[in-house]
Amino acid sequence: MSKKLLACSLTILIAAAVVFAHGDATHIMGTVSAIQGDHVTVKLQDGKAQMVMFDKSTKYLDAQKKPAKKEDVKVGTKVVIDAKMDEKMKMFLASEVRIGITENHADHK
Amino acid sequence: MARQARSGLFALGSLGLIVLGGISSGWFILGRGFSARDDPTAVEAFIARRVRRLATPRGDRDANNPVAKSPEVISEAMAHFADHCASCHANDGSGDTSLGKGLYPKTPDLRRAATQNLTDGELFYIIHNGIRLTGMPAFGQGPPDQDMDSWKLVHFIRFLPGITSEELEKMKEMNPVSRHEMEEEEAIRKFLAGDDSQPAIEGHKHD
Repeated sequence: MSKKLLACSLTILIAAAVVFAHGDATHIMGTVSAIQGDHVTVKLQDGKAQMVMFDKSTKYLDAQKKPAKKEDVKVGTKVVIDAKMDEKMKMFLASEVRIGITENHADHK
Repeated sequence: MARQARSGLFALGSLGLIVLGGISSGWFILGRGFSARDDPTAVEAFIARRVRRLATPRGDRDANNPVAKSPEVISEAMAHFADHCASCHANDGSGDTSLGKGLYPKTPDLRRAATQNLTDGELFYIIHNGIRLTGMPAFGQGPPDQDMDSWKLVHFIRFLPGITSEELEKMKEMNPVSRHEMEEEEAIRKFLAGDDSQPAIEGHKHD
């Protein structure tokens, strides 16, 4: 009895609501326009440039979602990147990079 | 007479505790608001775990898994988990999903001691009955003694700490896909193949 009462009393202390939050990953879709080490600049479809950072945890996949390599990302490569904002670096950090065809670099000049 | 006085005192004390609990709870909620973004305090987490344990009948807590562990059982439970559980718990059980991280309390990392130290009976009880005031629904269909799917999931939860990257890749193919996600994937593949007419996929990605 006292056990149940204790459980009931303590339960009152715990008020929780089930709320679904929005995801914090963002798609970055465009063509690689520059690479500097682990920093890649992507030219978005609206013409704007977005810098994204890669790290050890970044996964690389081809268009068919098969494993790919970081070296497959070149200037002119079409990419779709799932990235999260790194609050310390104030820059997007890529969690997954989907790698497509590489167009002639000259096309982007 | 003395016994009646003791009972009265006990009832009064209990009532006082409940009222005090209500006031503290109100004060706490008003102070922190209703946002689910925060993590529960250590006190909340401790109390919630104690209450959950107290609320699980001893017989259920000590129940043994009636399903024998085998590769077939793990494989079946893996598909079940990928289809029903992974949207909140993630395929690897880490809870690292948009839904899991947005809940209050957050979806626990099933690979850690707080979950792995629960008995098989406790894990089954949670899967079958759910947990009130959390995002964990009651998944059990029919009477508990016929709910073999939940017992198989208990084996899979024990399997999670050692799951391989190959098995996780296999699970990805078993995850439910919405119509929106299928259309998005189609647009991504076309874009990556060189079709610039694909509209930009904007906004947030939901795991």
